[in-house]
Amino acid sequence: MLQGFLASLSPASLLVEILGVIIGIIFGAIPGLTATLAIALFVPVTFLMSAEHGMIMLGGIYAGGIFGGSISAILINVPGTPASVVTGWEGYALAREGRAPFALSLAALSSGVGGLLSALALLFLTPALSSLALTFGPPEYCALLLFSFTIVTFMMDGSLIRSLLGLFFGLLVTTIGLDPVTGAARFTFGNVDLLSGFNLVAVLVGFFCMTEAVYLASEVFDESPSAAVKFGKEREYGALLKTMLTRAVTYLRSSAIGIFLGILPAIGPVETPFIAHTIERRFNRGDAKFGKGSVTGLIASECSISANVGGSLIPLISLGIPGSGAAAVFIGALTLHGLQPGPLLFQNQPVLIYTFFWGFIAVNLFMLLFGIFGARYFAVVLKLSAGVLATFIAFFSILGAYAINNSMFDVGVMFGATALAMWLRALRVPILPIVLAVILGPQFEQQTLVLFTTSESLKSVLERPIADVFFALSLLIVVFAVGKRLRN
Amino acid sequence: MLNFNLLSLLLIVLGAAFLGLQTPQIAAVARVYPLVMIALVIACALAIAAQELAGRSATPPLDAKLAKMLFAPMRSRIRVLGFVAVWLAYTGALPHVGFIVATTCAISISLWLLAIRRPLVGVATATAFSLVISILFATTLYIPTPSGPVDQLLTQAIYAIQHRGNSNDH
Repeated sequence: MLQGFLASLSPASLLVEILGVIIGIIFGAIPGLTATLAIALFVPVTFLMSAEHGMIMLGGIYAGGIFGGSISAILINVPGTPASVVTGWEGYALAREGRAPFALSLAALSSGVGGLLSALALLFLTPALSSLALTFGPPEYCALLLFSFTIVTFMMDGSLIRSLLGLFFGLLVTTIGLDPVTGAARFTFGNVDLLSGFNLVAVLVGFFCMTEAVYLASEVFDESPSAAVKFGKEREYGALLKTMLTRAVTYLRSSAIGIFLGILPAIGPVETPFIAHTIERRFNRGDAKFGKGSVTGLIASECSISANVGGSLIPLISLGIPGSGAAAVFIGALTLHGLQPGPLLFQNQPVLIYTFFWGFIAVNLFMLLFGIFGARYFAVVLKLSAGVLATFIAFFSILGAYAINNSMFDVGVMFGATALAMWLRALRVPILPIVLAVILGPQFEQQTLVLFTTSESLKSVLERPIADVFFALSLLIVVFAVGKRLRN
Repeated sequence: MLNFNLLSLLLIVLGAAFLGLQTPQIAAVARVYPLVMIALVIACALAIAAQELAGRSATPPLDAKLAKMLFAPMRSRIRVLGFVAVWLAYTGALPHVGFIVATTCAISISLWLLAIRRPLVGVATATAFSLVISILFATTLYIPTPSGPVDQLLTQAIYAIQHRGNSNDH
């Protein structure tokens, strides 16, 4: 372990750590270009370096990419990556209050803390956490996903029936493509591009980025007093420290959720902030700003995303099971370097593994420092006019959608999602349940089908305590929300 | 607004029903879940429509940004439509004319429509941006883009420069 620690501090290691984080932040900040894409693109570059340096660089790109997405989400309400959607709700609202430097620094701090805690978990708890994750079966997955749907739909302000329509509409959209269990084509109408369904990144770029470009374009001619984001002068380092100290429990809780969800082989950084945010909402019922500029909400989102990144590396290293799409690309990179992820990796390459673990801790430290002290330099974005921003957001949205599969079909999907988002907003159907359904829908269907086909009786499901807790909580929320609305 | 809502809900119901009619072509095991979702979507849409017709639904307020856009002066709305049309046309032109030409044209027109009053400044900005991005994508970020005649010339130039560098090394 000590040898790995020293190796991670060599000049070459420090260089690849910094380089990885910077590349990741650039990719993450551009709408549509995801951390997964960045890792995939830079795998060939790692052949120029040793295996441990290659792994550290990819780890840096992964962590930096996840944080980078939050920069544009906070400053211009355009999530750079799908994982930053929740950060955008909280961070952009804070930025509009003139607290953009604080929101950016807090996002960096939360991301860094979540990443560091997950890196420590990676270092010390890898074998134990991997075996715990393996006890999570279809009943637990179903209960957890149902809990997320219930909280988002039933706890939202506004029309319950419209939220439910949004949820079911989103779940229906995700059934287009191949059936996850039998592989049968559904609603594809002979179109080969539809076999894999609508690409999630293209849909989210359409929902959030292109829509924002159109709104910004319309703001150019708006003669009413501007509601544009002001960056603010104050640095607020004191407030940042105070926030961290007074919300230590939120940091720990969100990091724990992020790490655990990261270990699960199905829930990646995109889904995690939604779940962590909804759970945190339950602990902060008195916070009226939750979802609209809540500091706690921002911490929960950022902390859980970064913790998820580290968490997803735990089953990858110890069992060879990827916890997310990016982790799957990571496995490919390891294999190309002649390494076989799994228990034997610890025995055969202990120095390499511990160099990577310590390097991952350093990567998160660099990301934290870049984020906190570089916040003011990201603010150059705010000096651009709405017209210039709209133009370049539209350009990067199209490019991002195209770059996923080098396919114009995904660009079409992105435009379709933009039109759909605006239409549903005009119909007053909230966008959040649809987004959640689109993200978690495929997983929900798969786990539900597996649960129904493998469970012998209801009793066998009820014998799972973790699942029971989530099912009971979901039921309580439904009863509470419906009762409250009936009383009103 | 009531007409728009009812028409939209009718479209959702018809769309879901159309998908429902396709389900007999799907294997029995794979059709249950979509059928349940179709039924739930139709049920919710009909419930909202019934509420609207009965006048019992307290319609939530329209999204502020959308409202601002929809009720903007005609001149603004035409420019926004022009902006959307430019980027749709860009998508159509990209595979045919290549990345550099399509991007230069789209950014120039979009900037002229929305931000920059002097067209030459817009064209210069767009050309410089397209070239820098193309070179960056080709040499550093490795992001593939649709290729046209100008893109091929640039690729050949980059290859020639890199190759000359290698030849000098030898």
